[in-house]
Amino acid sequence: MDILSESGRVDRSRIARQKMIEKGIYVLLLLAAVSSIVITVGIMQVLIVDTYEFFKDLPQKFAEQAQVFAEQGNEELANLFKNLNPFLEFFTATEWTPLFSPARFGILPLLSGTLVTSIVALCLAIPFGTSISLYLSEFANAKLRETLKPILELIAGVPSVVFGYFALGFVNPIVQDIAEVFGYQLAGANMLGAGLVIGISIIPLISSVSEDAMRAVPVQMREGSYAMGATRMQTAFKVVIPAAFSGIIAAYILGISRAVGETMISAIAAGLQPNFTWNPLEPAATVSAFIVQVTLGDLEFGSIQYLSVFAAGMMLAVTTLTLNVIGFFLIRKFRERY
Amino acid sequence: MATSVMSLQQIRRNINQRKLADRVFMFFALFCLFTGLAVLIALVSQLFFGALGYSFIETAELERSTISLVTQVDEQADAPAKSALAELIQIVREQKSRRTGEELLEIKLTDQERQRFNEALLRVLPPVNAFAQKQAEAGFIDDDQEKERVIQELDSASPAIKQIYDSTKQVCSGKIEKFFTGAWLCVVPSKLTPRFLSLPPSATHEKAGVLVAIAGTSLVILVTAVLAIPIGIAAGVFLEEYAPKNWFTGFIEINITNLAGVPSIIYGLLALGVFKYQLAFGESILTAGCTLGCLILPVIIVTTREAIKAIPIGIREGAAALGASKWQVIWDHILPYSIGGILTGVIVGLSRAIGETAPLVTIGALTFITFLPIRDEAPFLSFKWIWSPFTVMPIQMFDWVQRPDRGFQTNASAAGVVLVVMTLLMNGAAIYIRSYFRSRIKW
Repeated sequence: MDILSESGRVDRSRIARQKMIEKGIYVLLLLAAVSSIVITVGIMQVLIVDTYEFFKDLPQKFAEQAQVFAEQGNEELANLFKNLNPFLEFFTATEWTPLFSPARFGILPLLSGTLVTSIVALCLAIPFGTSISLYLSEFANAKLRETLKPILELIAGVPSVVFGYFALGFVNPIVQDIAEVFGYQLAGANMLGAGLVIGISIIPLISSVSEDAMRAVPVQMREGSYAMGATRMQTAFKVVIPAAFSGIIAAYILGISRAVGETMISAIAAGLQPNFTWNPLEPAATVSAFIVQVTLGDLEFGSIQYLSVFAAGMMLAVTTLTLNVIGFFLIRKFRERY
Repeated sequence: MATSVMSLQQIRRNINQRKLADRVFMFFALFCLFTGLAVLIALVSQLFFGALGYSFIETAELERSTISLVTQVDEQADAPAKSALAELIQIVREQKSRRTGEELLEIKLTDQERQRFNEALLRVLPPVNAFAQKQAEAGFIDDDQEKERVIQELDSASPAIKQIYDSTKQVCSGKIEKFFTGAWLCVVPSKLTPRFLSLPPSATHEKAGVLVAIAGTSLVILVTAVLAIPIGIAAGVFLEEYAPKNWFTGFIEINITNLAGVPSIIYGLLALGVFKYQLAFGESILTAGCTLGCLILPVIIVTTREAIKAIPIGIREGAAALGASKWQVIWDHILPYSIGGILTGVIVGLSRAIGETAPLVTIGALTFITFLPIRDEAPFLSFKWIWSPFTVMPIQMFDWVQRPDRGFQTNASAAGVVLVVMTLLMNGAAIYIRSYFRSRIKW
């Protein structure tokens, strides 16, 4: 009765008002959706501008250092800094010491730290996560699945700083003890322990996303396989995994980008010293751990240290973005339609 | 296909092999699963037992005075303490017979001796610890009567216990006591007490608590929720109900997927560059709330969309057929029916925000703030608090984790317990809400 006036006629002004409201709501909702683009633009802008500033300021910083070392009579370092190219330095130098003197800006040590912890993490998380998801979707009955899934989700809900503490206080000592049996003396912080805990923290992510993908495989395909006499394992590996491959790849990509970006676990348990090494038994800082370490102290706005954080962050963002894009195309390539 | 013909025996063997492989894989998968659960249990118990507090003995060296002190206590000690102390004396004497007096000053106990020494001491320690803890707590009791009562209780404690306690002197921060001249009795009281929740941070671990951190976390999460929930739900509704299928919508969708994959530390850089400096919010609760809001926005959008997607088209068509406008359909039908899924996403997002450390560390959130963000003014009449500096639970914990002092490690454990309880409760609530709505709403 709302839009009818007392005479029983349609009240056009009310309809018009309702339409206005609808339009207003449409605009509001559109703005909300656009906000995600605003966030992206904000991130891109701050990373690109400050990375640009970083490379612009580097030559000046090198010149300053060259002068300082020339005054000190340290010809070798003075010559080194005189001839440095900012891009070559950033991408090929193997020392990263923006906070000390001489300040070197080679990103490789941070990248190697990130890569090693991520690889350790994935060596644990991919087999474990995939097996768990296979078990939950192919072997476990519904009741068991409904109990176990929430528990796995609880692991995913544990804050990363708590995982870091766990790595430092529980996993690293165990790793140390085991290494001692083989005659290695390890530091309290090492990439192996941190990587293992990062792996544990991403298992729930990998297993739940790939389980969703496996459960989306039509049951007829499984039944067909069983009818041919295949066991559950054969069905799982030869029918379900190929059919759910795009979803499983998506899970791996998510896991990899989470492992690469994981901050607190590596900052607490993998050490804060940039160290160019491929040996997981040594401590080394990751890109994100470096960002945490620098920002923990007093950071002067616009200083080269401040800008170096953004340059490092840019590397991280580019890495995860590349991973996401690769994942996007892999998923598209392997997608099966039923 | 003649080559593939198998004898019955071969077939049977083949079947058995395949079944074996099947079983082996199942056991491997179960092993993975239970490793995961074991890790969860190990993690929780490490936190819990770490937070309970403990005593340990630092035996740097044993001096002659050790023995005199031990014998002094010995005369008044009660039975279990006496036997324990007798063992201590025995150990010290063995040491003495093996080494000259000079050496004795620099004695390091062997692992076995150290263990015996500790075991013996630990038999005397529990009552002493209880005493020490009460003593420490007595300093914080405001209520006079209660204080009187505790002091009386302390007075009536066994003389042996008092003797041991009195003969100890504080040598470092906290309850690390000089027990014997050469052996330090370190008493770290349990942190799983209401007192821990009601104290501000402090330079000494036993006077430090998480009150300010909890207040900070609550206010930051409040700002996060106010920002992210309406925008997230609105964006989800728009993308699912209004958005035309064109390149722009596709772009927004890809963008949201990408945002969900961006590492949280990158949001920290966004906070550092944009919120802290460009918008000049400073190191305030507002900055933190905005950062975490951006961080959980994709989570809320994605879960809102999924919840809305699950509603059958018939509901929309039915409402529209009765003359409802688009927004009326959404407001009266879509949102109420999808509220379970949306709520789940919101809670999961907020619990993630509670645990996030990295993006807040980067803005330089101070860890040593001893005042509450809300002081004199009424919290929701004056909004001065959003400009206030703050600390949050995970940052407080990170701060404590980094300190080498074992007392602060106990604090870190206790903070971890609080944090895990908070996030587990929220995740549990999310799981419950999801199953509740799933069983209630059926299409």
